[in-house]
Amino acid sequence: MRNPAARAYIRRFIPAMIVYVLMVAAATALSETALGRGPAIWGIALLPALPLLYVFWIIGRYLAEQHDEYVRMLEVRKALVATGLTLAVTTVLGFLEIYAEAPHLPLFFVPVIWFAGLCAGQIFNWIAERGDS
Amino acid sequence: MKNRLKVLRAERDWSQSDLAERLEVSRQSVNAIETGRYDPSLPLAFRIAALFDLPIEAIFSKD
Repeated sequence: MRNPAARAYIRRFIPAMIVYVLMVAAATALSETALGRGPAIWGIALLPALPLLYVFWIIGRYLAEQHDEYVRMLEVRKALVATGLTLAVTTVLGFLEIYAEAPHLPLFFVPVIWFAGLCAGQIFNWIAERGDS
Repeated sequence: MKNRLKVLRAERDWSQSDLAERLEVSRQSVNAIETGRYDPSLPLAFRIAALFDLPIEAIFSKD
């Protein structure tokens, strides 16, 4: 990841993660105050979500700014594998919850599954690359 | 799609990295095109053709 798009991604991603950690700490602290017992809790709860929304945006920017079309194809394939896995896992778990009384998975885990899916997508790319070469 | 990229590159004594630098793509991309794992877009194919000063069909051909 040494081209300009990749460098821009890293330059945006690191501060976003720092802000995310700070927002989690802030939301946790604020939720235990008097503010956390009123309607303000809705705003407090959104604090950690905002930097993650920014992360989704910078992933989109990375794909848009990636001018190496082959690398972009690999990244898009990775994201498609992640999306497919997320849909598969959440669909299966959804039906398990309905019919088999499986424990409820909080929606928060949907992006977590997607990011784990990116790792699976990377492995898929490696296998596809090695298989074709 | 087949291509003569490796031959054309060898004729000029360019490494994959040399060609990648001239095309402003990664070496990974050049390797993928050379080995037939990836068919370049029309704009990139035109850039390759312009670099070798050849028509596209002299570099790329149907299987």
